[in-house]
Amino acid sequence: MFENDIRITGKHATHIKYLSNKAKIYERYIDVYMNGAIIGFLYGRRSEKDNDIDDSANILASTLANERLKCDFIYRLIMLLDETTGHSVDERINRAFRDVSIGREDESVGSNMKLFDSYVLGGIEVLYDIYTNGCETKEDLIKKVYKVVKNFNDELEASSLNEKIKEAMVDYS
Amino acid sequence: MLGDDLDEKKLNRMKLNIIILERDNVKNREKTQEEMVESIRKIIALELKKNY
Amino acid sequence: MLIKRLLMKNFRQFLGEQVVVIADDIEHNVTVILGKNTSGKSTLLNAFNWCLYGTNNFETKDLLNSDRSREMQSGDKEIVLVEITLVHSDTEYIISRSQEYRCDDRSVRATPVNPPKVSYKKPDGQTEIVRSAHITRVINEILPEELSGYFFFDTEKIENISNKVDVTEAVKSLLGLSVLYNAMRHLKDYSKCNVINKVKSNMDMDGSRNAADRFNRIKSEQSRRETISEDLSNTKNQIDYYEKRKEHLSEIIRDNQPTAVLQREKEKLETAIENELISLNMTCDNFVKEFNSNSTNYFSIPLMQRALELLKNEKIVDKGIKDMTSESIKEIIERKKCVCGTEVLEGNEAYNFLIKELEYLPPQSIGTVIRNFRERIYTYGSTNKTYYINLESRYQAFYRSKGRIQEWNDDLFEISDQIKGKENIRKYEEELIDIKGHLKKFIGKKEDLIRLDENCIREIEKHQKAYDSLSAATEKNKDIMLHVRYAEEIYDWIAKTYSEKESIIREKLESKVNEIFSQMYHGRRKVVIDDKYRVALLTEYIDEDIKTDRSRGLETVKNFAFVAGLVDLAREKITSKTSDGDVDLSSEPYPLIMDAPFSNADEGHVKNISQILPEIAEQIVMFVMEKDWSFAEPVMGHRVGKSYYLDKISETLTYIKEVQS
Repeated sequence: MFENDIRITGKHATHIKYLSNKAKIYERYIDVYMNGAIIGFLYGRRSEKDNDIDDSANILASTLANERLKCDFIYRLIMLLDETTGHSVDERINRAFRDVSIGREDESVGSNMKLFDSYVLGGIEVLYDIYTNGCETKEDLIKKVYKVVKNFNDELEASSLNEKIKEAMVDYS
Repeated sequence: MLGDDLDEKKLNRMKLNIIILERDNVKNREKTQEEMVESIRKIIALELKKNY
Repeated sequence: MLIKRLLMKNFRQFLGEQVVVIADDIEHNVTVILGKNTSGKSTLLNAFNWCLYGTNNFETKDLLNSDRSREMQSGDKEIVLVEITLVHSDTEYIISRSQEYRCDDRSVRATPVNPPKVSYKKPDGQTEIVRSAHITRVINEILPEELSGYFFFDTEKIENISNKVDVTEAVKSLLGLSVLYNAMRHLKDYSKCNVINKVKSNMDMDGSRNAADRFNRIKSEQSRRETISEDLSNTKNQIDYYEKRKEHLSEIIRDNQPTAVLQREKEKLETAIENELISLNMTCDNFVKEFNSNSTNYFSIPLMQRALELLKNEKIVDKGIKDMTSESIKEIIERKKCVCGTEVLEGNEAYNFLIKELEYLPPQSIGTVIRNFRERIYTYGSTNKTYYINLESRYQAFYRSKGRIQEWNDDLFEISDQIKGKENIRKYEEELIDIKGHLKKFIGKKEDLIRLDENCIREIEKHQKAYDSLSAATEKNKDIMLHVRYAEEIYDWIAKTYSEKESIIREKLESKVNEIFSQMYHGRRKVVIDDKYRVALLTEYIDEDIKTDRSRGLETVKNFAFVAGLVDLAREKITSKTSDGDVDLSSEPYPLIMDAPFSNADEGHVKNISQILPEIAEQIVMFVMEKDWSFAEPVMGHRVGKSYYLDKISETLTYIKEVQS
């Protein structure tokens, strides 16, 4: 897993190229790939390979080697947390940790990777949508990136929202 | 002396002599330009010398 | 001038010696020479021209009679001769010109024409020969060559002399103005040598040389002053120009001072914006870099949280040794030796422990993996905190930078709006500096020039004083000055008289010519004579006198009239009064010698012309065709003194025969 070249084709390849070369939000294709995986899973978005458009984007094994551990990590997260396949928690733990051992070929790895890949492609679509919507200039992109991050941050801090409301009410009284 | 008036009589005699001189020369064509100038000059000079 | 006799020898078709005696009696002053065309009339006219001036308008240049030429033998010589006897200023002159022709083996050749000979009879009866140097002058005094065309009237070949040649001088001499004219020239006008200059030059030489020197110095200082004055004037103009410009510019700049300030503001803003844009660009790049550095982890936060929760709840059997994998065990087994040194053989104790250990290691035991996984999550947690803060601050920088740019752009826009349409002050400010420089230069120059001029004035004063004391001292110079005054006075009087006479004469000439003209030609035409004595025909056409188209006949009559008028006028006396009595400046009478005078006029004109001619010229010599004479004879016949006809024997031979009346 994550040992060989990765080849993305079709519209997703076009998206990757846009995000990395045109919009320059992500430095490398591998960054798009990894972020795509996370985003795809966060939004619960999966997608299939696109055979209509003739385009491709390659991630070389050498590049992949640099991010091997990270990719593993992300893979484990998704395998651990994904509930769409109806597996139990134990089964998911196994899927996340056991199946991934180096050098061990397992039948389930194939379908796990398929799941992983579908999240990647879905995430790429999400990213493409976000960063083409109302983004013409470099500044628009910067603003968008910040907005995305900030919104996410706010959502993360939403848990302390109740605290903040409490604080605010104390001030007023 | 420079400021004095010119003597009419002398002037007229000069005029006459000069005209006669010129008239004769037109006929005879004997004198050259320079000779004529000298003759006229003499006419004036001689007349001025006179005391009447 | 009256002609008495024309003698020709072997001249063209006139073989041998042939003579024409010209009538010169007052009552019978017409000489008629009849002949058909080509019989020799033109030749006779040319004989006059050739004898007097050496010119002719024959097409073939040989003058020797061709019959004579043909019969010449080798070694023979023959003379061509024309001799004119005339009376001028009561003196009888004989003028002759000859040319020798020689025959050699091949042909008859002309030798160069001999110079003319002129002799005259003195009052005492003796014949005096005119010196060769004077011959041309004498001949021209009798009849100037430029005017000869008027008196040797070749109607058929005449080009309108009266229109072309500036005959002023010749006419003047003919009309007796030369006396006065020459007097003026001698006194003053002739620049090379005149009386006044001569007298003055005596003064300069007789007087002290220093005076002359002083005089020159004064002159040169004066001319220098002139130059300075010119320079000064130019400089002042320049100064004026620049002053005006300076004022103008200063006003504009004053009016637009606020604009100048705004313009500088504008430039400052533009620079600031430019720099800020560069900075903004960098900020953006940094922001993106920062973003990229940790985005996956950041967005994984909720996932990592959930993962932790999930794993917390589960009991994970984790007995394995940290970071040891099943691969490691397998390799030890293959090595057959443990890390600690114990032998590992299949089936032995060590071997069995190792196999047992496999269960705890991935893939058998996943606790290790999970433990590693958990630790990783904790590590990421800390970086995530700083990640967001850094990103935030970078964004703030971006935002502020953008804000500044926006603000400045707004300011810029406003300023641009304010100064829109107003002048670009910068260029005026630069020009003003430039002009101030010029002004300084020119004012300096002006001051220099004024100083120079003052120097000149001082010099002139100095020289003038010296000069005055030098020249005033000399009695002789005073004397000379008196001479000059008289000469000037005489000159002025002559000039005035001349001018009066000249315009009278010209008027008279013009009216006389018109009088004669109107007698010859009944039509509404007028003749005008310009100050060069050229004659033009006008038609009185309402208010304008315009030059008219000519017909040859009309031209002929016009020229006739001019000549006639000239001749007529020449006969009058021009008197000028001085208190000592009249001076007679009269000039000579003149003949009219005409070839075919009637050939271009119609019958009526012929009659008119015939009537007038004898009245206006002392002497008429006419070459006519018989048919023309038939119209003129009734009118003119009684005035004829001599009559000839040209008997044309062949193309090359004509005899002049007298007709007895």
